[in-house]
Amino acid sequence: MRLKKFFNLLLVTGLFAASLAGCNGSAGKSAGGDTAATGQTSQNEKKGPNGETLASEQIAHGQQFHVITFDTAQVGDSESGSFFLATCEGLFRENHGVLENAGCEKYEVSEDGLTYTFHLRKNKWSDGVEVVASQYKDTIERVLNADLACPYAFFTFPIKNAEKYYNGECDFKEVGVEAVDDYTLKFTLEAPEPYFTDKLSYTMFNPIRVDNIEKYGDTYGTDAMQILSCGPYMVQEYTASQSTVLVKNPEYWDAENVYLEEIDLQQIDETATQFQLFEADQLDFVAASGDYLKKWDQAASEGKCQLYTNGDVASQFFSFNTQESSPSGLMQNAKVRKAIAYTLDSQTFIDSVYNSRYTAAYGLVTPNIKVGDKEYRTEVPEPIKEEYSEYANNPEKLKALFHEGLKELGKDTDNLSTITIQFLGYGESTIEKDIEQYVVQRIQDNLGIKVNLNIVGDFGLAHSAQVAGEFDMCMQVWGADYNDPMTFIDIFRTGGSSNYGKYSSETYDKLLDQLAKEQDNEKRLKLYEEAETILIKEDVAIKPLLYRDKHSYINNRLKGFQYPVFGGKYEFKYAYIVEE
Amino acid sequence: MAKYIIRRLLEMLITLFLIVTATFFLLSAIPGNALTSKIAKLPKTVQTKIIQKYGYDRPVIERYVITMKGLIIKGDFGESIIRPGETFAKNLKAKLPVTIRLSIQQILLGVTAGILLGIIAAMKRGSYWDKLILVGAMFLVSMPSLVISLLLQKYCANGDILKLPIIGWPKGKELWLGGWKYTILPTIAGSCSFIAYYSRLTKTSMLESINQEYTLTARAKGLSEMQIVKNHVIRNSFIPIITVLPSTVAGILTGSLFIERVFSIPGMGRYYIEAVQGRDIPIVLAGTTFYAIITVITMLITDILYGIVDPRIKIGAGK
Amino acid sequence: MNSLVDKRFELADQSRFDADEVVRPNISYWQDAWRRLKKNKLALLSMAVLIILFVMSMIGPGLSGQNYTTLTPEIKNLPPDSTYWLGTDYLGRDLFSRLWKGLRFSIFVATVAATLKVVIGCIYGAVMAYLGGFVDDVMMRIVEVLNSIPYLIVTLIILVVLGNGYLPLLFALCITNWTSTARMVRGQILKLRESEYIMASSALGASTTRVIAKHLIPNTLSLIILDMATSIPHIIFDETILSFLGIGLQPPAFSLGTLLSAGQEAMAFYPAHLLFPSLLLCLLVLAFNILGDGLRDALDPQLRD
Repeated sequence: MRLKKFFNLLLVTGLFAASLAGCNGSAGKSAGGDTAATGQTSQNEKKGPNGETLASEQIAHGQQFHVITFDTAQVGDSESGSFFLATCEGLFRENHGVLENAGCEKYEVSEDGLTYTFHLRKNKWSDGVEVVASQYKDTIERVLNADLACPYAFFTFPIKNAEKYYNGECDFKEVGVEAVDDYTLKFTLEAPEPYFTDKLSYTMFNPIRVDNIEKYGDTYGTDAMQILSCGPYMVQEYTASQSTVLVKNPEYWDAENVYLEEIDLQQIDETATQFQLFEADQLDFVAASGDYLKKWDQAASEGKCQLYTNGDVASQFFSFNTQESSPSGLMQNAKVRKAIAYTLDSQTFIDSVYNSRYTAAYGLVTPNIKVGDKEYRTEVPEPIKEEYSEYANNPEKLKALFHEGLKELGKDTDNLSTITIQFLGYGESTIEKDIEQYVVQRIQDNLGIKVNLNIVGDFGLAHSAQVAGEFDMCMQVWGADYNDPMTFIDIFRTGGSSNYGKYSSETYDKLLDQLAKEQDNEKRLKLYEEAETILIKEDVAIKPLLYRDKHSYINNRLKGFQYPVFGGKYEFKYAYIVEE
Repeated sequence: MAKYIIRRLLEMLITLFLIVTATFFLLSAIPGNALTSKIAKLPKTVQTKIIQKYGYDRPVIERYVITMKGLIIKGDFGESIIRPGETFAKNLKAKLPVTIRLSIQQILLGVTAGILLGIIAAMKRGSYWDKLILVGAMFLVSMPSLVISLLLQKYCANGDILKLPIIGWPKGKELWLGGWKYTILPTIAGSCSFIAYYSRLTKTSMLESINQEYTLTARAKGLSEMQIVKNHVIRNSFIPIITVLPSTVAGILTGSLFIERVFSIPGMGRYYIEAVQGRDIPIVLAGTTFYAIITVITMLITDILYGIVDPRIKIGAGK
Repeated sequence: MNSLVDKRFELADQSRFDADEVVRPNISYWQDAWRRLKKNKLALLSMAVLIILFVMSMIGPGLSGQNYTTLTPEIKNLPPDSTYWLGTDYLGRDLFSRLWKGLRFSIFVATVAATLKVVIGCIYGAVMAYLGGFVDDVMMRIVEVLNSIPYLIVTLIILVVLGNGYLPLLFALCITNWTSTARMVRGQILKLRESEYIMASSALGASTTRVIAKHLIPNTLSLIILDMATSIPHIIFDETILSFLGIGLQPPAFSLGTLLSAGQEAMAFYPAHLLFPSLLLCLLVLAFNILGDGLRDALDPQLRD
């Protein structure tokens, strides 16, 4: 029973932010062969984008988003993001992993990479008011209002003087955002940032209606009915933690390519219930979980439903406490850390406890993350995949490495069973907690040392223990914020707020500084590779475990439905119902 | 009587104050707070701003004073930390009717069925009916409500036997009346333990009054069995039932957690427990106060009912 | 004055005085209660069930000789066979052994927490009743405050502050339960103190010690035993709910609640994983409930026939 599902979401899965061009082909394959291509659709009364016969009733049934806030400025999670993907149009929209122009018709970047000029598309809000450039500018001003304390305000910091204004050091006039005319929007940056457009497609940057916000005052953001829509759908009915009804927005610029007339969303907490409804055709899509995976994968292969799989951009790993003050006092040695890290094989782990779901990780950066238009993980091999195989299932070699490390510390001992290390785990459900014992078992069996398992089921507690360094190794999950390896590599900068193991390396920090200046994607690729290798192979600050994934089932009648990589969990714009 | 009620209400205020204070300090004593999961990933500059916004950079005592001030001036505990802008009052308006309807239906079904079965068991004491009711009641009370809910949902909803909705709850115009098909399964699932509890309670207390002298007298007077049961036994055996009824009412408001989850019912129980687990202090304080008020008031009502049902007990009589 | 004439007196028939003598063997209250409990077949049966369950919880885990602690995912979710009598769970551990081990913990927690609750409640209640006045008022207010806070929040806070282990769990389970015992004991003692037979006993010159030993304790004890018997099933349920919410025990420790919670997730495919723990839990609680009922009948003097 997972009451705290939504906290979990905040913490881990498919996080926020935008996506840049890329992912085509490799990402987002759905068995239904739905290759909805916008723009080339010939609007025929009864035909879908690929010539399918459409059902007369275009209603999709889904699960209610656990929306935390209806204020775009405050959005920091993928559930709230899903809501705004349906009801709002930002500058870009992700379609099969490719970022397409949406709110803007085209844009130009200056030679020096400092000025971005966007030419907006003519679009209307659901109350008939035009969408204009100043509404995008209002967004920046609102997000940077420090009193609102918007979580993702730092996404705007690349904009010239944005951080200064946020800290109250200058006037908003000096911030590098300008509405040149109603349909031209200009950003000036502090320094070039190759993935700036990526960040811009994040929900927070959507245009806002100041008049509407003022109308509701303090209560703005608490009720879906307050929201004016400029996206494909608008809210017709909303009951908190029960149901939402979205209907097609006739004012939307691309309304002719929006097929669904209505989206009914219901809140369903129990996985068993979700699958019962899915089986009864009362729910059109559902995320795989536990043993349902086998059954429905089978059903999908028999054509009873469509299987949707795609990598998620979240990475799960163990962080080692690199300080002398760690409970065991041994973890400051890289060889000790390496010996412990190599006791556990990521592939065997996921095969054993997750029914082979997810992807075994031997690196930090997940698949689907791009540098320029190249996918990082296909360009750069995972740093420890080869080296690990030398140690796999070789307790003697692992022990020798461990002893070597101990010798360097001057703490070598013949009796390894006198050594105890502290493992800080995290799990909300019984099963999540249970499987972490597997890790303990592997370390104990291979090295003969003792592992003290402390599993915390409360995020607040786990976090304070992590920040206080009360662990030798701890479980950590990181979801990408934007589409660049930087979102992962940056965690382990000296003094970083999520660098719980207090890893600190001058070489690593220098590489990060170099990366901030570098614009050439080939060179950046090399620099990232170097940094990742230092972090995982040489210094063993972390032990990669797995890359999360998206694994869902979709009813055969629903086509074109997508799970975007960034921004939100669901994308309804391209979806339609076919006649069966 | 009025004086007594006023005194009890004043005492209630002190109790509530103590509860709020205790809850506040206990929640503040735990490491981490509602913001932790929200800001864990963010850069330090933004973290500081958010912490400042919600006042978590201030000492506990100061936050307590601010909270209490807000309570006195504005009459509430403030906005939710997890869902900015939301207040407890707003959610109460939406969720309380759901919980109240579910509770009323469960109590009506559970208590009446329980009492009826209890009366049958007591009157047919020793018969097969008695044994059947006893064993059935024992069985119902020994099954976790979650298992009952899951079984009902699996076999009675959308199945071959019954075509009831798997999940959901009436809303809008049907909030109070109508949409019955949604409420059938949750009501049954929730009332099982009450049926069991009240049938046993009724039986024992009926047996107790059957053995009393006044019943013997009534029988000696030549009253019919029906009259004896109606006029003497039932009236007197209602005393223990009435004393536990208010605690049933208070318990049911939080007790429906599993049922609310399994049938996706947007009630108070789920909302409150989410707030507790997320340490959303304003909401937890408001929720705790709300439940405490219900408990305290039900205790008061119990005492008054006592006096009405049993004339021997005098309310408010000094020592 | 005439001298006394013996004729006016005659020897009375001695047997008339014997009429008041108790013919039945003089049995104590407890013997009587035991006698009545023995007549209750259902209660005896449930007692036998409890004894079997208790014995099984002690020897059960070793009975099949299979591993139930180490994770061996290679043999997970096996159906029941001659090696694994009830199959294996989702991490390849022998379900049969785990079932009894889980039961052991559930029984342990329930009895210990119930005892703790009763001891604390009795002391607190007796002190309230004995001291009375201002102290009684203050202590009663504390009980009222504790009673009015939803138990979940108290439990949650305790478990979060003290960590999740055996002791915090016991502490948490009893702190939310003892108030009812305290109130009951207080009420009972106050009632007894005012009752006629105690007044009579004092009037006949019985010392305070005698009153306490002969009247207060026996008359309260039956209530306390009942209270304990009825609270055990409650505590078992409470512990289950906590484990379900993920705030109960932490691995490698586990109880029936933990097994239920894991079983619920596997319900659709391996119903046995939910079925067996549910059945065992149901049986345990059922036996405790029936025994409690039997005890009530046996101990309540008013129902004497």
